[in-house]
Amino acid sequence: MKIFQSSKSFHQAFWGATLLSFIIALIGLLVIFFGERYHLRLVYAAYVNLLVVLGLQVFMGNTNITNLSHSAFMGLGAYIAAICVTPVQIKKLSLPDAPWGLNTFELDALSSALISLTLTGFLAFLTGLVIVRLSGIGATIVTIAILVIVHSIFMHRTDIFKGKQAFFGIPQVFDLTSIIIISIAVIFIARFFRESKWGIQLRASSDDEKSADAMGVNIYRLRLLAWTLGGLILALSGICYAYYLGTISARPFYFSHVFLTLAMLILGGMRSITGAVIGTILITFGLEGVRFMETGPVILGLKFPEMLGLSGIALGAVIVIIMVVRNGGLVGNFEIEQVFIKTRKKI
Amino acid sequence: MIDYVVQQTFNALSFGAEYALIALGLAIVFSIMGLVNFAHGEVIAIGGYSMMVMAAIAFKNPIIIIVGAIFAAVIMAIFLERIAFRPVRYADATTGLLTAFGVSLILQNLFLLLVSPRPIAVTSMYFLDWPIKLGTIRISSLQIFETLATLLAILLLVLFLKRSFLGIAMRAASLDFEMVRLMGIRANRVIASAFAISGLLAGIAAIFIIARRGAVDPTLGFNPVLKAFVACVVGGFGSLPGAVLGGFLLGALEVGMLVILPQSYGGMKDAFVFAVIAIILVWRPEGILSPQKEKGDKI
Amino acid sequence: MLFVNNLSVFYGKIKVVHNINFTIEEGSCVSLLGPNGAGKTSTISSILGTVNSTGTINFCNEDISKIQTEERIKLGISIAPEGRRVFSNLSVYENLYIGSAIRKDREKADIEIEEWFNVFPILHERKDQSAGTLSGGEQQMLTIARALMGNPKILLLDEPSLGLAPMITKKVFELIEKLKAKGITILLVEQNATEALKLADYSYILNSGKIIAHGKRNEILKKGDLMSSLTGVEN
Repeated sequence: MKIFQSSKSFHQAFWGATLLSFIIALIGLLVIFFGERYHLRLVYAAYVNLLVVLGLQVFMGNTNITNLSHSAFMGLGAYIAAICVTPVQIKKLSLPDAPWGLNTFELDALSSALISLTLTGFLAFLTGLVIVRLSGIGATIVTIAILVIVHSIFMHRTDIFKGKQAFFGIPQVFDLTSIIIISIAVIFIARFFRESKWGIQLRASSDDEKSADAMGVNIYRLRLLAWTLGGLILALSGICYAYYLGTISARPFYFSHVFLTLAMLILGGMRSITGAVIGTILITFGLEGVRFMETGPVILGLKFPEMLGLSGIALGAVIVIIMVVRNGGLVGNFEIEQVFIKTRKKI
Repeated sequence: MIDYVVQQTFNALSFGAEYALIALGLAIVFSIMGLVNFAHGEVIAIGGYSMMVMAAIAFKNPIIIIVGAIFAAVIMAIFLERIAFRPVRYADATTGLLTAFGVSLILQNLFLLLVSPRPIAVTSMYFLDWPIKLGTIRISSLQIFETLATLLAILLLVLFLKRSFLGIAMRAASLDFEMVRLMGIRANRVIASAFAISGLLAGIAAIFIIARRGAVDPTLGFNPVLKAFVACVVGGFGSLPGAVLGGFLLGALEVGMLVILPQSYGGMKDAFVFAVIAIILVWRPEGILSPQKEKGDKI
Repeated sequence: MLFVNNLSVFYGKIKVVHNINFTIEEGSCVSLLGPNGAGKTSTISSILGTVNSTGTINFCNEDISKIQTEERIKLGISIAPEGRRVFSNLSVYENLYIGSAIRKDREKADIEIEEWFNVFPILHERKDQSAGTLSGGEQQMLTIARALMGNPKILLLDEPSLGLAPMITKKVFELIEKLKAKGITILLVEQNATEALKLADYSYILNSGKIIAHGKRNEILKKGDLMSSLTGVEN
């Protein structure tokens, strides 16, 4: 099956993904060798967010439809895997009332991950069937509905999910190395999708639905493909999250996280993978700086006041400024390999 | 039995009235500019915070507080348009939506930072809320006020849109904005008016929310707007009657769910309501009363 | 009344009108002709100020090249645009009412609307109907009436006959003839060159963004074959 329209597309995708992977691996390795525990956690979180942003990008970047449910799918991926993998003794303690015998079995990490991916992917597919038929705003609303519904289920079916309380005891099988590898894989997947005939057709159609329709492009099927793929990546991000922290709760999978990751994608540029990566890195480190200021630090002898809420303001400001000044994000449509391709042409 | 039904009907009406009020504010702006104003919740919150300020400066007169709150909301709405939304006025809908998100984030956190993350008591509106007994039916006066206020607001809005020049211009603008400019009517004026009206509606909503809650916090407007947003979409985004229909429908659904669902599921009311909404959207993707398509465009 | 000098119109980086000049005297009817894509509507848009353009546009001794669209309309430039663009969900009456936006004496608008109803009884009949339910010809009458509600100094007519049956087209041009007789200054943009040439005191032929010929009717018709192939006018 011909996936790419030309070998040029394939090469661009391949080299672009390779370059980005190199950067990701480099940062990761530096931290592994020279960083302290705190740095490891920070970078791990950044890479989990990167996975979320990539999952978001696969859909939003190619269809131009705003999606606000991504944190819900991350949560689903995390919880399903967590429930499967947590040892029975711990589950009997933390989920005494679990229905359907959920607290009577345990699986290894890989099977749990696969089950989570399958189930979440299936849910993504089902919701996708509805979403792809709606117009831009309507689709966005349903994604909000999904977010609220999933969050609500997490919070109130405490017999399965424990709601606000921590779901603990998840074996911590992942470390920074694992997520570096996974991130690299996802970068390739996202990039290949972008340059594949599906990605190109999707982007062309999102700009003009009627002509695309007339040219025989089945826009619903393409959108469903992007949505489901995105959902799978999001599930993966949730699995990585759970397998590292060992403890999860329902609170993070809601609006704050949605806005955070949305800002990362917007800042970099939602149409490009390079943008997704850049945006994630910038905001992760920028936010650390802002959070530092929030706590009211002492710099050069000056005592700064505690400024809770500064990070929210900074995040909002980033979104607004990008929308007003450069709404394609910092890199727009640009992908990293274009730096080199341009130079080669000169020679 | 009848009493129970009447009681729940009142509940549905007053919930619905509040959603309709907020949904109208959203719909007016969207119908003219195509902007999904997520920052509408923060305009409501400013109404609440202004009441807090006025109460702190020892304004006891409720009329002053009510007028002040509405005034603050209107000013805030116009200000937001001028500063944040004008630069993205002619960009695509996604840009506008995301800008509004950003503004909403900034404002919520500004409230947090400059005032307090905690709810602050504002009791000046409590006087509006007293229990009324009609036979065996117990309702609150607030519900009556809110429903009446909403109906009055809708009536005035309809009159404005049908009779006044600016109102007619706004209706024209929602159909063909460019053409309105070509009639010599200033775009800025039409848009500012739309935001002013949305601010007015937000201010009124703020009064009732505060009267019920007795306190203001940074996320005061966020949840109501979320629901109103959904109401708009179900009713037909951009259609004013749709917003009203959606609002009352949502109110009826919520009360219906409270009635139908067994106690243990009560907390998941929201999830069920949203699920029903999603189903409605599948059946009618553009909303129940989608904004009237251009009739007979002949080119 | 209207002097256009060295006008070029840009869509992004693409130049669609190349340094054209033309003049419209007060009280005259000037037509701008040419095939599809010649740049006629772009020229009109530049007079209105809705596109990127360079050059000077002088209206009633005032340089309006840098003024906002709404202000230009207020100076007395009025347009009946291509495709009619009536406000479809507003009634006929409301459409006319909106047309009175730039008048200082808007209360008198009702009187003027009555006058138009006398000229077009059919509009009076449909005055509370949604404008979108009118036939093409009726909409064209409406859009011209709407454009004149503001007592403009110059009326820009963009392709009034487009999409209309020949019978209706005839009525439209009869109307324009009447307006001419009243002394209203008109810039008529048309693809239907035959009729337009008949009406206009002076005509400009546009092709690929350049004026390739201009003059009074006879002068133009003398240019024989070139004219026929461009405008389909038979001698």
